[in-house]
Amino acid sequence: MNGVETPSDEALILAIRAAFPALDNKARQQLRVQLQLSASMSHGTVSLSAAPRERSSFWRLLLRRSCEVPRVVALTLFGVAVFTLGVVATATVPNALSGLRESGHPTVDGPSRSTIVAPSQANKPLSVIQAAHLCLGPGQSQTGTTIGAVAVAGYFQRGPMTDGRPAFEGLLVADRRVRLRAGAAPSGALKHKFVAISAPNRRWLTRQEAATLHSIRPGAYIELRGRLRCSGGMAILILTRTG
Amino acid sequence: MHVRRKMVAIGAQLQEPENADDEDLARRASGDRSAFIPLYDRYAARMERYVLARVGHAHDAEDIVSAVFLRALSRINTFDPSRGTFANWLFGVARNAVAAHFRRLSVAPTAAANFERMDEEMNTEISVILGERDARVRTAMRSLTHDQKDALALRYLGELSIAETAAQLDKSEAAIKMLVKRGLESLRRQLGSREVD
Repeated sequence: MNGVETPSDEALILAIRAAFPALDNKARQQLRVQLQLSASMSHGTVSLSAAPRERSSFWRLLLRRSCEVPRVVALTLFGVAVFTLGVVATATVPNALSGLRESGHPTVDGPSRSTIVAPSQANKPLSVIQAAHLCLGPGQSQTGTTIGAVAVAGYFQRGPMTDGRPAFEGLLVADRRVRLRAGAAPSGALKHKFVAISAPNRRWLTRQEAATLHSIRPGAYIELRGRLRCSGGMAILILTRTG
Repeated sequence: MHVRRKMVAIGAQLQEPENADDEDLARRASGDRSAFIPLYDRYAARMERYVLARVGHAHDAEDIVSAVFLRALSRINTFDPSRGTFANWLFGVARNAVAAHFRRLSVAPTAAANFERMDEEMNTEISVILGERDARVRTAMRSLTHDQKDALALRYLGELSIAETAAQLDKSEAAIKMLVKRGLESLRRQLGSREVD
């Protein structure tokens, strides 16, 4: 309130705010996770553990602000840090990758598969908007990029059960309109070789339900494993479930 | 004494994210993107209300808010504190996103249908308790001029200052005060005193 409003306006302003409520916490948390992922991906890799970023900014700021510390020391510290990181990465990344392969997590070349997991286990929820941001732009391909767990909007299947049409090839169409909402694929759905999840919006899902879409149960997550590629500005997850 | 002053200055720079000002966090975020998260926490609710008021549909608003913050994060390097506050920059991104949304829909920003859709789909319990009054407020908001609506949404839902709202709408502060005043008067006329008490 600064200068324009009178005391009698306050009730009116509260009424305006009540008429346009903020989103629910769940949606906000999902977006927060997306932003955290985006922030970590902007550095080129997804950080698997909490990196002590505050410490690095502390040193940077201290070095910038303090006249007593010569620049040579700063450069030396930086060099030592880079060298240390290099040594650590060389020692740990191959082990981590082999660990991931053994545990069935997505890897670039390894077999991928899909499993239903509990929300608490879906440690890297990734929306299709997030996936789309992995695309650098139309025509640029990033085949082989892996994504982790995805909150599911719905289960879309065009497998052998459909009338005469070829089996669906297993695409996650990452249109910006797609909104992934929590849901669970029906039991047995993942027995099929290919799974696709696609939904321009919830209405679209509703419209499709009669023909091809199974009912979904809010609150569950499905973990998708596959390879992501970009085509026409869209991120496409190719699920190549084996076994 | 000089060293002490310097230490205090450094301490202020290193303050916790929750205490740091927006511009400082934005500056940090251009180097360390994780510093953007506290900014999101600060602005999420304001942005959601503002976008909802502009597009009138909760699901569309959710998508747009998501796009706004992701875009802001990816372009945080372009934020220049000398050209305005972070809030102003962020709401500039939001206004562009809303405009793009309406271009995609090829409808005017006044889309009455969207508000009706929102009324239909509002969550059950809340809409039962507050639905009638809120629907009347939304209807009354619809009847305002485009500038009045924009000014009220930025001012009270986006919680921008008069100066920031003026910068957003490219108008003088006096013009914004007048728009807000007339907008509130118009709403009061339509709603009557009973609705807003």
